Amino acid sequence: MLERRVSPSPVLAILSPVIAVALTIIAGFALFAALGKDPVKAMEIYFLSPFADAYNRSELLVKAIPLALIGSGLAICFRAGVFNIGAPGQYTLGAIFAGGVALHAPEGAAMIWLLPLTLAAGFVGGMLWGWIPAFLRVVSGANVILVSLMLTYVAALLLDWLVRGPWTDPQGRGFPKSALFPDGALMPVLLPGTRLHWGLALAVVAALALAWMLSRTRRGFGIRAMGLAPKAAAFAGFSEAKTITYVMLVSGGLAGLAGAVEVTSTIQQLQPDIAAGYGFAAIIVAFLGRLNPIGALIAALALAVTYIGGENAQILLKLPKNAAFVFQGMLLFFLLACDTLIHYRLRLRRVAGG
Amino acid sequence: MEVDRQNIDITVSYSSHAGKRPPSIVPVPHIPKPVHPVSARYGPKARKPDRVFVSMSDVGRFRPPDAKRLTSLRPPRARPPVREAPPVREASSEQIANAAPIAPAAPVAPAVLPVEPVAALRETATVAPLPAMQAQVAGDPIAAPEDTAPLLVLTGLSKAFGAVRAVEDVSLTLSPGEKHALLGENGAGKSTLVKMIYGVLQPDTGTIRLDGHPVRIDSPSAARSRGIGMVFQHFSTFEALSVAENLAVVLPGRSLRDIRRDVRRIGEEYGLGIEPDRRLASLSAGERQRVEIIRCLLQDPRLLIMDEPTSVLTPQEAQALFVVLDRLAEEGCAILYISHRLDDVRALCQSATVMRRGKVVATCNPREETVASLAEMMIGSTVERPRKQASLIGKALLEVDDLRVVSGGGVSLDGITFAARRGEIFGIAGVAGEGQSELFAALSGERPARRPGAIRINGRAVGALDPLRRRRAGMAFAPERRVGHAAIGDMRLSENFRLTHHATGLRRGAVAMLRDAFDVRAEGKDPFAAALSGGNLQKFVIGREILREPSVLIVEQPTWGVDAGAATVIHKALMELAAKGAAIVVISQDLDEIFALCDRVAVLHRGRLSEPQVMSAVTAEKLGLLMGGAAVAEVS
Amino acid sequence: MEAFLVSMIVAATPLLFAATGELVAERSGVLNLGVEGMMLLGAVAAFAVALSTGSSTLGIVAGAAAGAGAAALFALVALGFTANQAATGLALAIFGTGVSGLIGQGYVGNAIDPLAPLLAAESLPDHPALRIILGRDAMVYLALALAIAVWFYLTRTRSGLKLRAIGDDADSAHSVGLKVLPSRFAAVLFGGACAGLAGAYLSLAYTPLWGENMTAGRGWIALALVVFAGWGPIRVIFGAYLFAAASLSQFYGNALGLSIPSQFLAMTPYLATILALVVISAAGARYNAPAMLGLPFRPTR
Repeated sequence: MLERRVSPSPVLAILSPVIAVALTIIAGFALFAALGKDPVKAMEIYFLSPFADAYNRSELLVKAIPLALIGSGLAICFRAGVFNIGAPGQYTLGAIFAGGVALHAPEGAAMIWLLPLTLAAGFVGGMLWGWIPAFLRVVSGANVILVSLMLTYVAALLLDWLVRGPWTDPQGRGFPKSALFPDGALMPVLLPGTRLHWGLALAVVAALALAWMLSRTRRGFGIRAMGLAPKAAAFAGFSEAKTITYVMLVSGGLAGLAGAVEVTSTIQQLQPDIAAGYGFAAIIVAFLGRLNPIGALIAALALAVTYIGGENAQILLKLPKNAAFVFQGMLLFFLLACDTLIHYRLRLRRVAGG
Repeated sequence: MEVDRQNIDITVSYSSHAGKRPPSIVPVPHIPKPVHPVSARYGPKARKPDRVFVSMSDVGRFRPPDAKRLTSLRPPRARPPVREAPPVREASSEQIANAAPIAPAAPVAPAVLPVEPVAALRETATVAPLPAMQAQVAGDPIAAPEDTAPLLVLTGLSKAFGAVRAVEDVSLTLSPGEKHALLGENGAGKSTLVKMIYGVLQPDTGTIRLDGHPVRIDSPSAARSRGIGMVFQHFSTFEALSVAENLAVVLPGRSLRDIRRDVRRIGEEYGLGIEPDRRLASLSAGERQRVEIIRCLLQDPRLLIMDEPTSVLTPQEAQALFVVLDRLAEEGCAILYISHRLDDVRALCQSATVMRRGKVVATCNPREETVASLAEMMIGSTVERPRKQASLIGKALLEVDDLRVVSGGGVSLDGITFAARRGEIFGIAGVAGEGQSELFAALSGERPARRPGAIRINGRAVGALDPLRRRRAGMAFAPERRVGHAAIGDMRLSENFRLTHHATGLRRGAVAMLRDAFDVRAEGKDPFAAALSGGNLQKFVIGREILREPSVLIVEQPTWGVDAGAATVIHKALMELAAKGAAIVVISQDLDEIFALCDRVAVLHRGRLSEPQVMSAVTAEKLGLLMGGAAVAEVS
Repeated sequence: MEAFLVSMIVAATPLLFAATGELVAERSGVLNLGVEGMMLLGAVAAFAVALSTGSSTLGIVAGAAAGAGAAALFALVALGFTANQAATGLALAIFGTGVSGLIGQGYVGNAIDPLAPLLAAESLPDHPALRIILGRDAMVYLALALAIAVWFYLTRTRSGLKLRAIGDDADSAHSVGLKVLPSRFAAVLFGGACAGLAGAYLSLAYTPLWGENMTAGRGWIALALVVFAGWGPIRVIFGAYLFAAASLSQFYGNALGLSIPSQFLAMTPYLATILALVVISAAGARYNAPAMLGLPFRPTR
């Protein structure tokens, strides 16, 4: 049975992600053994191969960029008690807006402005998709979880229509893809010889700025207060409507930026599959990072490991692509269970009547 | 209002029907049984007229039992088969015919309850009991325990939560028909004790005996099947379900149709009328309590536990409740009555167990004690109540003019108008759920009014401003709920301090100063708010606002659920603030508090505020009638 | 048109199973977002068992069991450990996607016979509409029967009343002695079993084969459907057929003479759900929306 602690345990608050990761590896080991796959080999590929060489390490960072951008935004959203799970949709809208700008840039325009404009458009697209659930929640009380989730599918269908219809590449021989973006709209590479790009700097700056906002500003205080006790926050003078709108705009905008960064760096065009799955994985990032933007930066790396490991396993072990989700799902399960122990103590005693 | 002798007889006759009472409690005919007087609870003698009559039909909510219905008080299961057969109406007229002395005026009886003058009551209780009282005392189970075997015996009950010993070695004996009070301050362990009797909690050690047999009560449903019913302070009802469905949830094997019929029947018999198909969400607090009581009555209780039942009732409604409880006791049902309202206890109960810090510190007959002596047993020392100094009342600092707020789920405020002046403590009385929280939210700006001029501070219209800007205009607020509204349990005190100070700037060391000045006791330099006891957190919350030196302070239930020591600190601080020239509005359901603090008072009923009354010219009865919805003109 | 109606019935059935189960869980106050994961696990389990035993009945049972097992995992974390229900549900959705992919790897490319119609073709009446309605497999009728049974349970039985009470106010329910956590656990398990049945229907009757991620978002649609139907089981039936029609319109749009791009038709269930949410929330009247939906319950002293 669980028993409430007088005050939350600070040790467990930090240890909980570590324990969860350890449990995930152990459980993964057991699961692969149970399925008759070589567990040692599988664990090695999933968790060690991403660190094996410089290229893998750079790819790790490439994957971590969108995860960190979305995750740090979600961290403040969850901190405010606003459960935005529509990040995949906001990511997709960001990609669409960015693509819209990149694909329609006039030839020979001042190219130096094209990339910032593209990224800004992505940010705005994400903000728009984040604003809708916030607005509906504020005016009618509609559940943010469900509205933001529904919008995810609307966004995916919108993208699908665009790349098959109006924005399809005339030279694409009927494939659902847009034309390639012009060079001026592409993210410059940070490390020559890898795909690592300047999005890394964006992610770090965004996380630092959010961390500062959360801990040092009055708005950040209001966000934390609202997450812990909405009524008390309103009593303290922090408008619930404004806070919800703010965090949804910020987290939506960052998810949109992540989408823009992704389509202007690794994908370089629009297509139906633009890895919007980052949007859900970023939820794990936010929790693993203790709902702290800086923590999300580190957690994004951990989640990136499952992606690179998954890709490597797909090639080397011929495992299905989705197998990486096994680790992500387990990680979140263990993390949530461990987090309960921050506030509660485990007691091996039966309490009747429960 | 005048009343004749016959009406008094009616009062007697229905409380002395020949049901299942032990033979020893047959009352003396034609001598009025002392009805628990409202006057006994509040105010100085001088204010009271010689004789006060309270018309229950004016008050409404708790109708007293219909005098002509002298039916058996048991639900059908307990009735002898003969009575079960005929339809209810016929049965009752038959019984009227059979029943012994009934006043002829019964059918149209205006249901007037005589209320003894306070002086007389104080004497009856402590010095020379009236003849009726003697009869009552003579019939008391506690006075004649050999008559009846005890119903419930608790021996050495203990319960600990972690390191906290909530209940320690408590023993208690209850006989059928006994009305037993459980007294104690907040945190004394009363609730934990009764939850063990009701099966919500299991004792760590000790035994519970029912009818002499040791029993283990695993769950509330087990308790119910053994005839133990409980009415919770925080109602355990379901908003989305109808009255009948609420009852069906705990009544296995009874159809909804039967339950509807039973609700109507019990409503008539006990004066607990309620429409079985109404949704709980649409009921007032008093009505919800009726649902809880009916829920217990439907299960043939042999023991009824009531946890602070009068906190949601007007004094008159409380009277009517006591009449119901008296009848139940006469039928042999034991009542375990938890309250911190000592006047209530003295009016209702003939025995009491006093708890302090989890232990039994005294048992007594509350009628032989004074309020002061009971309070001393509870608290362990005499508590000096601060006396309000007459302060200089100045110009109006807070003016509320025709404030209207439409509320979807709650009570809508309808044309609230009052002013609180410099140096004044203005009380807003009313039972729970009459619009207090809505009024607080409107005054604090959590729910701004449409019209800026609806609220003015020092002449400045602030009605449309949010709490932040109102604080900057010189207001301060302390809501009823401590954790989750006034403060955040998972934040440290320093951050909780910031909640209401960020608008006007923070001072270094202010928290330490506050803890020192208001005696906020807690472990650690900067503990989480959740780690503080109710009283200490409330001192923190009130102190936090007073430290802002507001010109207008709005507090809701400032001493709700806190210990007497903390209440004294808080009352003193409020008086001092008023003396310094602030205007204070105290929204409270506790009439004692209103009388102790306020200069003027107005009563909130269904979202409307009565004309303000000067405190020195108002009586508890009058306030009670206003709380029940009467207009000022009617009661003055 | 005939083909459209048949497809609609077939497409509505998994939605109806999953939404009916989720509805029960939600009426008890638990929001389980993991329907997609439970469906996938049900689908792969049903397919694996049906393929290896040759019995689709055993497959269906295995699907329901797998769904319930996944739900038990959710219940352990979300109810036992009182974790955030939305996050836990998401974990289940992600986990189920992964595990089903891993288990199903060996079954990709295999095919089995689809479920046979409940009534033999010769025993059906001649009327074409009746032939469409009555000529379906047993699962179609089971789904309908289940939704009606849930309606009966919630509105006409004492146990259903208790479940609604728990969803309305768990603390009150606890203090009057209802078993909050066991009831919620049971409701979640039922929801999981239904989601498993939905998955089994997909892999045994709808396609009938196993493919990675074969639910293609139907679990999320089922979640939307529960809200769209205002938590009413009978409305869920209509909603399931409506949503199925909307999602099929991308294949039949041209045939039906619709000139709107299919993606926009496919969006309609989601947009309709948002609209329903706004209307239900704004109306203030609570419909059947469980007041405690998504809020953890921990018995206190």
